Amino acid sequence: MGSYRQIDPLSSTHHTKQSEDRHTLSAYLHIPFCEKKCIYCDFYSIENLSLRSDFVSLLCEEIRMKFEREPKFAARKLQTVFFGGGTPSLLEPEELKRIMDALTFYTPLDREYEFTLECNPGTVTRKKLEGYRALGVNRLSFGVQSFDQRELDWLGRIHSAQEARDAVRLAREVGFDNVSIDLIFALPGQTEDTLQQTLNEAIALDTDHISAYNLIVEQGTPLFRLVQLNQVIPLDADHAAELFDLTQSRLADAGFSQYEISNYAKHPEKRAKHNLVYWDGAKDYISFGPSAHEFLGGVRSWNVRSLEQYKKMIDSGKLPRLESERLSDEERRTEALYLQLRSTGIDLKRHKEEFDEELLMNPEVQALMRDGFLQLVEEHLLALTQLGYRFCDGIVVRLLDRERYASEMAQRQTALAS
Amino acid sequence: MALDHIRNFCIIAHIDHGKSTLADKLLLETNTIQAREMTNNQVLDDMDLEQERGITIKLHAIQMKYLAPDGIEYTYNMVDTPGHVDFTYEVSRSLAACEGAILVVDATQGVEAQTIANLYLAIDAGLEIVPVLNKVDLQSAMIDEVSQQIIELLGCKKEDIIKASAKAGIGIHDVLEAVRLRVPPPSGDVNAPLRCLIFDSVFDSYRGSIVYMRVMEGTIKEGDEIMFMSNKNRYRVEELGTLKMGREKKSQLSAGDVGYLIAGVRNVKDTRVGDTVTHFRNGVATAIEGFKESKPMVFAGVYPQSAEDFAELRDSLDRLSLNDSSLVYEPESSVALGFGFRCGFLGLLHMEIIQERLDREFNQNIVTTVPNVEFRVTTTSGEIILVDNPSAMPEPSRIAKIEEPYIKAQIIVPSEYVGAIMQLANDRRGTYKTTSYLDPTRADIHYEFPLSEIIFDFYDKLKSISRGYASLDYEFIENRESDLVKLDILLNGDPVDAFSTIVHSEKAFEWGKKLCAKLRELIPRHMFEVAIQAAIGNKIIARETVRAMRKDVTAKCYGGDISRKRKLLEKQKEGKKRMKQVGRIEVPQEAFLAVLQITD
Repeated sequence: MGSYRQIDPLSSTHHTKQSEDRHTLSAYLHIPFCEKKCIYCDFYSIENLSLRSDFVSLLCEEIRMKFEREPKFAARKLQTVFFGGGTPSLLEPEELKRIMDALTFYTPLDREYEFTLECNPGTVTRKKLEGYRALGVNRLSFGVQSFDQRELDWLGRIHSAQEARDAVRLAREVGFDNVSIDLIFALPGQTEDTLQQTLNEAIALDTDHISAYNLIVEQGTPLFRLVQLNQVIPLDADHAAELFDLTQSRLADAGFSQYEISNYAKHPEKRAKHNLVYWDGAKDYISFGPSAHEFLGGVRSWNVRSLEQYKKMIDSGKLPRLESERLSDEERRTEALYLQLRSTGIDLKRHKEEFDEELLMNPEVQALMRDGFLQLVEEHLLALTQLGYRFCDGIVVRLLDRERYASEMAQRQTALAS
Repeated sequence: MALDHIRNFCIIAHIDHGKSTLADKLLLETNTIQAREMTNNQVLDDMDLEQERGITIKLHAIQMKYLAPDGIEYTYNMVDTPGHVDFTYEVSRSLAACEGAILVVDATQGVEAQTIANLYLAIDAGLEIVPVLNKVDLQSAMIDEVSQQIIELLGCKKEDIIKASAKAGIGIHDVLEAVRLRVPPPSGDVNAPLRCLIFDSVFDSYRGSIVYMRVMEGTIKEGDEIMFMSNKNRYRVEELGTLKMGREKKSQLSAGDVGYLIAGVRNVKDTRVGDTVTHFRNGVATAIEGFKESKPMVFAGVYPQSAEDFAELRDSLDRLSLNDSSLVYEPESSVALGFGFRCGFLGLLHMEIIQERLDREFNQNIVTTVPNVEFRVTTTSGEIILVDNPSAMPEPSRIAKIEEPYIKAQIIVPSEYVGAIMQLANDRRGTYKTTSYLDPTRADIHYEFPLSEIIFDFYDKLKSISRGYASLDYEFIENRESDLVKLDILLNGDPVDAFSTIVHSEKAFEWGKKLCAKLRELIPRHMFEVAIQAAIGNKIIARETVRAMRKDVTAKCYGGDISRKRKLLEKQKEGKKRMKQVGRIEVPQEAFLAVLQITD
């Protein structure tokens, strides 16, 4: 494996955080292939793997096109890179290298970067993992979902519980020191016992990070149809809440600290930095591949959700963009509240500067703090408590209506005047 | 115009017995309108709301020219009357403007409560009654039975009853002839001092109040200086005329005429139904008898859905009241609902009409509280307080007695439902008075009720237990002392004023229980438990709990989900606007009317 352009550590100077934001970038690359689609998944992927090498060329072309057209992003350094999918671990290291060469030609990796690749445990070999590592991949995220074989079969996973355990051990042997696994809970019919079992196994694997997602029945998935046909009955919300509770407390007992609704890390430095960029609400990330979403300079854009169209557009020299939106101030505020609250919390000073809003003055915030849903962390972060995570949506909605109190006061005055 | 050639009459009927259809056919028959002009079914009901409901709620009058077989052209003034119990007084004033009344009875339905109520009003006013049996062409017409009912009521002869079908155009000419031959022409001296009876007024944004009136005595001319006797306000007559399909200007109107008057009156409240118009100089000393200030009987809080719409709601009510002198309102505030208005209505139908007009014509999203009557409270210190808002009821220890309005009700129902009606009346604290039979199959039952017992769902109940056959008419009689208590609802320990109701002490316990149970269904789960309690004074009499929601979050880790999620949250924020926040509890608007949904 050749190496690609890395920046010279000596040339990097000390940056303030703000200037750093303008000099760094995150990148997401969507690899839309799966051996077999899982019944719950609504991310874009196809099962025709033969299109893979063609796709790698297209992806490289998209990278080239985008940076040529928007050269201002080209000067930045990549702080995080994330290969998601689909199943990125279907890529051979050679293919990954072609993509990374294209990418780092424009945006070299920063000195301290995070480079994550999502892996399906059923697709990895020692050779592959060694190849990835040699290319700079320094974080693996394994889609394990469950350690209960019946649940795995039901979900449509291609791997067994044993293969998941083996994959994680292999990653360790190859030398990955930042390994995460994904779990899904609140599966129809799931009991405290089966979830407990899965959590125990996950903890025993001693990974650095665990993501545990509550199953969502997404429109357009096979699972959605099964639910519509009454062949699958989703878990009721109260039971799901209990399983969420169990997940939170079991992982906390095992030394994982929750830093987002679904994410837990053993040490703060093992938090998913790429995802934290999403949850910052203001940081730039560029993206490539069908259905991929990016956020650059306050504009969110997303690509077509079809490999065929993606190819057609790139072949005719067009960016495969489907739509984009520029966020209004109010929309930015909504997203900031939601994204920051769901993760590590809202920086009160920054929020005041950006949106001219004293959150602590809001009676709703005060009440939510009193009731133990919100808390002040390190005196400057307004964050959800462990209990609060369970009510994130409801809490955000309560904070959205910033005019409410102002208008009630105004009305009181009008009425008194009349 | 010779008084001999004028006929002033109205049509009285129970709802849906065909009054408006008959009126329309008379207009067609006399060429007052052409068929093609009848774009809407019924000309007289010109508000959308009236047409949809098939009831007439505002009075109007129209003039037609009838060329009779005797070769003489007669002037017919048809005065329309509202057909609902809330408007008894307005009906009586319209009748007072006439010499005759066409009594329409549906041959398939028979005599109903309002037929009788309106008939008695007409007889009291000394009107000649022309009975018309309508819908005789229908299969289900019970011509003999219903004719017999009419004969019993009027003491008329069978041949006096005109058989008609307004829809099919049968008997229309007979009705016109009967009006000519049986209804006496107006009397009155055109040279006597002026006396005009106002039977309606409408607001016109350019001309001010347009007064509809009958000249009883004397002559009124353009430019005359006139006075409204109830308030002694003076105006100069700007315009006079008669009412055809539009207004037709005349230089004068004299005794016997029905017409309109414009005198630059800015507010319909200054041109009250039943008032007398006379000349400022050389006028009459005494007004026409029967004038009453309209008195609201039913009260409810009307609040804007969002706090910021308060001023707009006030403007809407101001504008609405320009055209509806019966609507009264004053600002009030509620801990739960913020700032709004306490509105007084003539009755429940009137309240519904106002609600709908605020919604449709003024685009106001409003929250209304449960309607209530006005209570007369005597305090232990001997002071008398009128309470039109339950939350304003004094502390029990300060109350010596509470009086509430009572009404007398007339219910007409097929005899097989008498038992069920009596059961219902009993549940509603009714006092039985008498029963008579219009014929062997139809009972005419008289009860006295506290008005508060019939203002919400009594009429619907009456209809449902009688399969739609029962009819009701009622009239206020007096205030009477009752054993009443204030029932409060507390959410997580805090009383919510908008939920307070005044109920009879014997019913309070059951009501408290039912109200709590209903609210438990209506109040959504929160992040915390919500306790709903019913209390009388300090005593909790019922409790229900809305369990805490366990979880309110879905989260994906994916850049593409952010826009979608944002839109979802924005939508939820909009959804919350349909809720009223009471303390920390989100209460859906329909909960404030929960009392109305409680079934006995």
